[in-house]
Amino acid sequence: MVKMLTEEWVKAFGDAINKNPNYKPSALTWEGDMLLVIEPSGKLDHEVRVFLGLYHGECTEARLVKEGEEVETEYIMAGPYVNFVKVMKKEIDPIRAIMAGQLRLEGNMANLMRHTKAAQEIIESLGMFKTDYL
Amino acid sequence: MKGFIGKLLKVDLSKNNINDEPLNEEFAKTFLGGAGYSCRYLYDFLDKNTDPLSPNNILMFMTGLLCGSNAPSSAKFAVCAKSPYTEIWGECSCGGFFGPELRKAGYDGIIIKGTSDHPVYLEISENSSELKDATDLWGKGIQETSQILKEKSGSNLTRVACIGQGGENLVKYAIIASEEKAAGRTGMGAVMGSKRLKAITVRGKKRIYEPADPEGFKEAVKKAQNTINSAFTTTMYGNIGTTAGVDLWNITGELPKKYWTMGDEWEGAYKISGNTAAEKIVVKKYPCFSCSIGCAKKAIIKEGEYKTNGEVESPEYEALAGFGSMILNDNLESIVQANILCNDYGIDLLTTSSTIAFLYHLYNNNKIKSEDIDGLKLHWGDIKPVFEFIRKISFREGIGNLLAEGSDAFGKRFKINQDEIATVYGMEVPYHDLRSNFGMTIAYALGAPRGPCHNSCDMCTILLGIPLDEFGIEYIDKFKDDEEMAIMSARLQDLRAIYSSLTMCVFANPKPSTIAELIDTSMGIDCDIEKLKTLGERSYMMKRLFNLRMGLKPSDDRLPKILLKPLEKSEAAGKSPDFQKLKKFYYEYRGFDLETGKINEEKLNALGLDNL
Repeated sequence: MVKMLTEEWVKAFGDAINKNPNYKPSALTWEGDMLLVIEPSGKLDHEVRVFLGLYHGECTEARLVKEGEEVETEYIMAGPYVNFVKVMKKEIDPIRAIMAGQLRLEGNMANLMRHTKAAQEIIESLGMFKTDYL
Repeated sequence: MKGFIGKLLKVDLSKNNINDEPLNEEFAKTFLGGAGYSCRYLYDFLDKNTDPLSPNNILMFMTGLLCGSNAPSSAKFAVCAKSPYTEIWGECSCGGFFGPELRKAGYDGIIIKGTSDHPVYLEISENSSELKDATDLWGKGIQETSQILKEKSGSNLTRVACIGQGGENLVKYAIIASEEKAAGRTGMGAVMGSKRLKAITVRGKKRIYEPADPEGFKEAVKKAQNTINSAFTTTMYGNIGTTAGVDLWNITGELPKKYWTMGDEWEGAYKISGNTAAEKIVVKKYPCFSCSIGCAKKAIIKEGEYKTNGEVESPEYEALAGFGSMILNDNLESIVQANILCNDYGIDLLTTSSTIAFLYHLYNNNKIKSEDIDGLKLHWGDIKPVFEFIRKISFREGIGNLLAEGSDAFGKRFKINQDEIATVYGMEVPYHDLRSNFGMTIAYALGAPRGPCHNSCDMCTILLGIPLDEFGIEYIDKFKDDEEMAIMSARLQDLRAIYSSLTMCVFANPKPSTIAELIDTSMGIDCDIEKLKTLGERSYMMKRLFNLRMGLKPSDDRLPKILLKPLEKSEAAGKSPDFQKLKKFYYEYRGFDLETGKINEEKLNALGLDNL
């Protein structure tokens, strides 16, 4: 059990992506890092950003982004903390969360739509290890 | 009456007579315009014995309540008549600019009856309307016809709706096109062709959208626009178009392959997908009037066998599936070419491609031979014969004469079991495989007003997660075939019936309460969610009444086995809905009699349709 939004949790997240058997085959042609922007809501009172290095089906890096640090990524997935939690607890399907505007996906749309399954599996990976929620 | 112009143009082609007819305010209040109004109007004049291609059929072009306003994505117009293809309710809608222009010219709609003894076109302006000789246009394609008529009018802003050779030759699934958008399904182009009406041109200069409550309407428009602008579908359709889902649907099983028989992930899908098109050939989008989405795209192919002469329409999803995955053709540029041909000859791309894919299926299963189809040889993946078929169908040449009647007619001639033909009510089903989303069962085969349709019940999109809970449409598992699925799908049919009356685009989904506000402030009729539900159900039931009058029976609500046989692969592998179970739940919810298909009196009374 790892405390959510700690360095330990982010590392577990990166490991989970790499261990997710459905991620690699769906992301073999994926090139481009992703920034998760977890916005304050519920028990989270400040924004937390998570950097994910993603290349050809591998998560090459997973780390918390320091406050004030400028990071440029190909893709951004953003949304309130409570919605990320809903997805992690499988209360809502990731694609449904995106379609319903509970999570927002930004970046090259053609590439994202080609890799919808990969984006879905990144989020699914969040539910593949035990998290101690805030 | 606020929200409407208050008059329709009535044309009798047999008598060469044109006059104005006042809008029926009662129909407008209860059906809001568009297809709903048209259905109520036509119900009084058409019956089972009306030959759809005779002078007795009546063709209506009808705008909806919001057409011409700045309400987002509501500039379509409906084209309605008895369908020559299905012989039940015929309805299709078309975007672009023709609808708002018609209103600017001072009309809510056009009613066309009779048949001219020679080709004509109808010229409409705010000062006069006139039938003009179109002998010189007869035989020309849609692009050329539109161009000539714009030049004749002296303004590129003149809007044209016309038929191509397909409509002239009474191909049963011919389209009417306007500004590179199409009123595609159910053969309204054939009805227009049977009347020898080649085109309608319209030019108006009045800007006269007058809502009952201008400030309230402005506020409702703003709310609708905000919801649409922030929707993921807007980003998806705006950036890529309707083809954005091809890659995903290849995996989920929604994309049909090899005439509905293959579930395997098909490598070719990645070569033809909208995402590939966006990177390789798409150059810009061209939105309809008052639309911030812009799903339609222009493309250029710069070199090779399919090099285009400048910008052309980029294929939409149905084209990629129909001329791509359905015959396993992975050449994107060739699909652009097939798309251009269908749209210029003026034949429905979906019906055409499905009919042709059916031939590929039969040929490769040794059920027809090359000599049965004018010597053509059909191999999966080879699109070349498709170009031949499109031309033959449009001109009714050789085997094209039979194919112009559709898949069922071909199947009947060659004694093919109906269960092997992907049609319902005689019309080819759209390319969203119901085995990957059981809600599409209802869209295709249960009380579908115009036959199988992915717009009048787009569960395939809604169940991705578009929030419509205000209208009682909850998110449910797409593989359910229970009472809940029957009810949710029926409610979505009701909501989309409102859309077809307002002439709104289904890609725009403001909150239902905002739609109620738009109606309320436009017409001043005190509309809320509950009244909105009644309006939708009434419009839906009106079309059901029309279809019962045309002879529709419960046994027509069926699905061929080819669409129900579980796929072996994909995320939908092994899955198939229990059709009879869904039918029972659906009929119960709708108040349909399982023996006769009739609507129960209680329901008709509640909707104010008891006098019909």
